Amino acid sequence: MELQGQRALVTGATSGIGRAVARKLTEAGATVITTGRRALGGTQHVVADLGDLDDVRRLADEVGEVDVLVNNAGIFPFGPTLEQDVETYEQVFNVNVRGPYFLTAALLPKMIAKGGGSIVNISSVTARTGTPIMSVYGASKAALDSLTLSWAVEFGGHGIRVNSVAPGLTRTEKVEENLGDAIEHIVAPTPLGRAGEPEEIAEAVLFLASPRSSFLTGSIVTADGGAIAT
Amino acid sequence: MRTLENQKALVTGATSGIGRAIAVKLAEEGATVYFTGRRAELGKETVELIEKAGGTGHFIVSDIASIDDVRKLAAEVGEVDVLVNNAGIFPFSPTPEQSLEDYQRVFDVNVRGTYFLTAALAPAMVAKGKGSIVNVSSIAAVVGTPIGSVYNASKAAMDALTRSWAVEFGQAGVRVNSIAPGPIRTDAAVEGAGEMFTAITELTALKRVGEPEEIAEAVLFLASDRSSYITGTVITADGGYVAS
Ligand SMILES: NC(=O)c1ccc[n+]([C@@H]2O[C@H](COP(=O)([O-])OP(=O)(O)OC[C@H]3O[C@@H](n4cnc5c(N)ncnc54)[C@H](OP(=O)(O)O)[C@@H]3O)[C@@H](O)[C@H]2O)c1
Ligand SMILES: NC(=O)c1ccc[n+]([C@@H]2O[C@H](COP(=O)([O-])OP(=O)(O)OC[C@H]3O[C@@H](n4cnc5c(N)ncnc54)[C@H](OP(=O)(O)O)[C@@H]3O)[C@@H](O)[C@H]2O)c1
Repeated sequence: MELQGQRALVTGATSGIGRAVARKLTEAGATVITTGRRALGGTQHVVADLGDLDDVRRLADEVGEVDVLVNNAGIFPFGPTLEQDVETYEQVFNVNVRGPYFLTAALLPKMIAKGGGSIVNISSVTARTGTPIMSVYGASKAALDSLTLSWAVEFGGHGIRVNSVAPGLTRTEKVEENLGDAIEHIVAPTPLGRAGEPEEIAEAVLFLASPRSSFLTGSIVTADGGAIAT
Repeated sequence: MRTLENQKALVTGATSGIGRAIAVKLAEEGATVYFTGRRAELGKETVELIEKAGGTGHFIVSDIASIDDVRKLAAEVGEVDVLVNNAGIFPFSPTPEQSLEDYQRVFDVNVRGTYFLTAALAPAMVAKGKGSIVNVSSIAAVVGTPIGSVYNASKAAMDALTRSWAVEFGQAGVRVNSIAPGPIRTDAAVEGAGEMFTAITELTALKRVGEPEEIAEAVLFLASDRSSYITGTVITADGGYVAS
């Protein structure tokens, strides 16, 4: 098993893509620590709010040393720019950018000391496309992709690889709740003509977490059924 | 079960370097691998390496710069599940000194060969409702270099084909992606780049060049069902060269 003996932290693993990633990494042999605001059974779960910096620090302390860090937790409350309230704006950047930033910063010293590790940021194709109602979300994910590039350069000399997986529309409970029947309309014109499954995103994360991707760093792996190629 | 069990793959340019590593890797994972190149002796060596890895390999001598050869190759190989367009050349020259011959040759091998081979093999994939095409492009497609203008343009053209084909064949279940390698330790690259090759090491985030096997792993990922939602993308495997 390719992640045997490794410790991984997956943020936002209480549902959707994060839960699928946690399952996949566990199947690959890793000891997986999960986190989210909601409680989960099991001893390897830490309840924490990534929007709260005290929680971020406590989370890093409780987790200690990891070989793999998957920054997946994210929120996507959509809205047109002209109606954007400051609170939601702040919340998006706090959870999607500031949380992963300081969590990563807190976990890196031990990765550096260990001489290696893999960090995977879950961004979104929205970072590279314009949409009428996702300006804040898209900007937050573009910021996350930018952190991928910077961290790849900053920590590459220590054997730490940092990459993004940028999913297209993926069928999670949250997306079904938000979009319902609109999902089919959105994905019909894309090359593969369907939404992604959380497991398919998890496979890409596993690839980046594993030594199979040993020469990949600073890369953004798009997993969107071809949506942004059109 | 191995990831490519019962599948048939064609890898162009597998008499050396990255292509050879890809052919061996796909065969190791269970695919029956057909591969091409012009150098017969080296082709035999690749077959031996494939067999040593417990796989099955068939070598077809074929010049991808020749349209006749491309058509013959497609007819001989028939239906494939995986096509890896890897054959490529990189003769560098400053633009003012570029010979028309070399210019033509780069585009014939890197783009036209890839184009008509894919055109000949895609219909069977479409009919089957499944298939994966991987183009080995280069980070050269997205960076400027002082003596690589033609090569870089040919690889950018390849990435454009990746996107178009993903859209053209996606609804039929055929996925098309590029792997864009950074500096990889192959004889051709080491000889071609000379002293520059070691200097490049410092320009990567990982402070090293890549090995052909590392590119082969990325190609395997794209060839297999593990990347089932990935199409129309360019995956950079460059040790962080472009990011820096
Ligand atoms: N689904 C898609 O179509 C899609 C496409 C592109 C990118 N993405 C990205 O993929 C990631 C996962 O999305 P998903 O569709 O799986 O959504 P989801 O099911 O809502 O999952 C989001 C996860 O993040 C956690 N989270 C949210 N706010 C948090 C906070 N303040 N503190 C800690 N954890 C928090 C949630 O846990 P709690 O609620 O328990 O806190 C949950 O586990 C997100 O970053 C999203 O932007 C999704
Ligand atoms: N090494 C790197 O640093 C690097 C970086 C980025 C991209 N790439 C790309 O990766 C691919 C492989 O490069 P490599 O470094 O492995 O070089 P290589 O060892 O020279 O491999 C090139 C392969 O292409 C074949 N080929 C060349 N011209 C051909 C023709 N006219 N007809 C049929 N086959 C032909 C060669 O076979 P014959 O000579 O036997 O015909 C050989 O098997 C190329 O597309 C290259 O552009 C390499």
